[in-house]
Amino acid sequence: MSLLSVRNLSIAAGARTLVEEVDLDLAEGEVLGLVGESGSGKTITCRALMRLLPAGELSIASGSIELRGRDLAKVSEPDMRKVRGVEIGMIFQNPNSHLDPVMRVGEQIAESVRFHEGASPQDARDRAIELLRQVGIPDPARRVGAFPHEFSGGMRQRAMIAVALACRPKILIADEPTTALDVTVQAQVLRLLLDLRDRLGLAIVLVTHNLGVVAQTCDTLAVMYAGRVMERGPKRDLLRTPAHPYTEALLKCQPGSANPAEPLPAIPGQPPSPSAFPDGCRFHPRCPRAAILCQQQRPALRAISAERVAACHFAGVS
Amino acid sequence: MNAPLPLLDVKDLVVRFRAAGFALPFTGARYINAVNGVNLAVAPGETLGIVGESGCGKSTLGRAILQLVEAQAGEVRFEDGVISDRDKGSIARLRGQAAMIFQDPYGSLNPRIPVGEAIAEVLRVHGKTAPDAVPARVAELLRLVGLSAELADRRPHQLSGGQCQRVGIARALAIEPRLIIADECVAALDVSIQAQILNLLMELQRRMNLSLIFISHDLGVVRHLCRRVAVMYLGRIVEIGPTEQVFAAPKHPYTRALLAAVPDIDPDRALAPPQLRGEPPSPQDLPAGCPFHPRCPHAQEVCAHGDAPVLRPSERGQVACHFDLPPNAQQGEEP
Repeated sequence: MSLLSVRNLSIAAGARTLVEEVDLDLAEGEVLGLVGESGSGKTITCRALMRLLPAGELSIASGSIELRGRDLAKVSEPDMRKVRGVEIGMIFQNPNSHLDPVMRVGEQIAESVRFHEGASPQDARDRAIELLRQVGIPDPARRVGAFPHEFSGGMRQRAMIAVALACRPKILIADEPTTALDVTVQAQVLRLLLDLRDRLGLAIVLVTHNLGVVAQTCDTLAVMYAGRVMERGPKRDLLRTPAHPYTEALLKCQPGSANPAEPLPAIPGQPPSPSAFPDGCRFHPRCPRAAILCQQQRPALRAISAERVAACHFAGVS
Repeated sequence: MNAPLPLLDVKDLVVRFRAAGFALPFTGARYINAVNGVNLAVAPGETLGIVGESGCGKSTLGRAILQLVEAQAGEVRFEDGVISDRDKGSIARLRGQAAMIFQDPYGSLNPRIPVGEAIAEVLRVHGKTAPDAVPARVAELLRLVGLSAELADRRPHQLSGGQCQRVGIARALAIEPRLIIADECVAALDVSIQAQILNLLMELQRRMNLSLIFISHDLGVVRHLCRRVAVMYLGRIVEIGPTEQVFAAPKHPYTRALLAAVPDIDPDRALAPPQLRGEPPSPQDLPAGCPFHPRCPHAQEVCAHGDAPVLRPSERGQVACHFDLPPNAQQGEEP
């Protein structure tokens, strides 16, 4: 039973469509990885789920975002404000630009508890201390009065997670949450996210470009390229036997997996710009398996096994 | 250390910066200890990776080698000459043979100057090409890095990140260097583009027998590219050795923790429990004794006192740790 179900979501900037026909499902306690290179549309897809697209520039052109029987693409802005933070929380890559530098960390956590739940200042503060403890910040009763600049990078990311979880949402959208962190700190934050999933039954949408992070944390994956989902399915199947040539190429060009000192199997060319998406399959100019058909006809996502879909004319054909 | 005479020899290099802000009365100025006594030699044609987390001093070390920041102590020798601040000629000679490639492909190019002109500028400054041969040499350099010569008239914003990084490499190659220091030069690129740039660097390095110092936080990239690797922590090299040895059988507890923290692309390996608590201390207040001891799972009483342990030979590399940790305590990952 899926908690959040996205169907046919398209996001447009004026006449240009940046994200097209995205389908996603998220179950309780599931970690869904949204993978892709810069410009593939993974971040704006997430922002659309929260209805946080920059007004006047980007808008949801079509599709539905169903959360417990309600279509978030259609609810009013005041109603949406009750969804953000309460039903869906979000964390970002750079805690520095998403924490208020002149507000104490505890107040930033307590703020949403007071706003959404009408809690008393004392209760909200107690909740803030409890949340800081849950995200692994030492000495939370003292740290609750600290400002973000008094925290290290990893602690700020933990504090942002505490802000996002203040009103106990069931879904957390994490947009590149560890990209700005060092590997040893990244390992701590990923562990924390998985612990929270286990303890709170949190469902997580994890946006990342790092396939190692995906392999270690996600249950299911959706690979995006040029605004479309290329392939979706359980993590292990996708990484072991990629069905889409793009997924396969992405895995092969990771420096860790290739033979040292030999040339990496790089993907030729570069991702297309949104103003000039190619006709047919958007990956065909860079695809080693491209045929005439791929230039003419855009492949739809189709099932290649019980749990997997891929958008390639040749997926599943050997 | 190396049988052939090293191209670059760094001895006891120390770099400190004065910390921002006002000094309190009686306490004196506070310093950021970026590089604390680094010894390093690079042979001709050798590829050396320098890895470590942010703030470990790896970028400052690269810049100090090229005299882009001032070193407080120590010595940099290039070929046989000591590079010294007092001898401006030595710095000019060094920069005629050693070039740097930076992380941000856009930030390191002037946005108002066409990229061909940016390359021509280097040729003119170093006077390695006759003035009338400059346009042809620019076209040649662009082709060398896999760009069409027609791109010479474009400005950086008209190029992609990967193309700009190729221009950065062309500028470095313009001086016909013997040493290239690449500071996180693929960190800002997507993996598919990163692979293209790494292939280009490897090919050029081999074809021209360049020495390459490749500074990166990405262990996978360094493992792929470099024959030897140095691991830095708080301004010191804690382990250095042949890449395959350091990755397969790391000797220093920090190297082990660093390798274990890299998320493996193998979906059947569960996320390892984090081995290190906390984050690196600030380079303003270095801990006494071994700089790693506050986070080290193997720390003993001796680690907290006295001077930091110095590099000592260990197998085919060197390690700066008081102890010989048993192998297999936890090994680094294997592909």
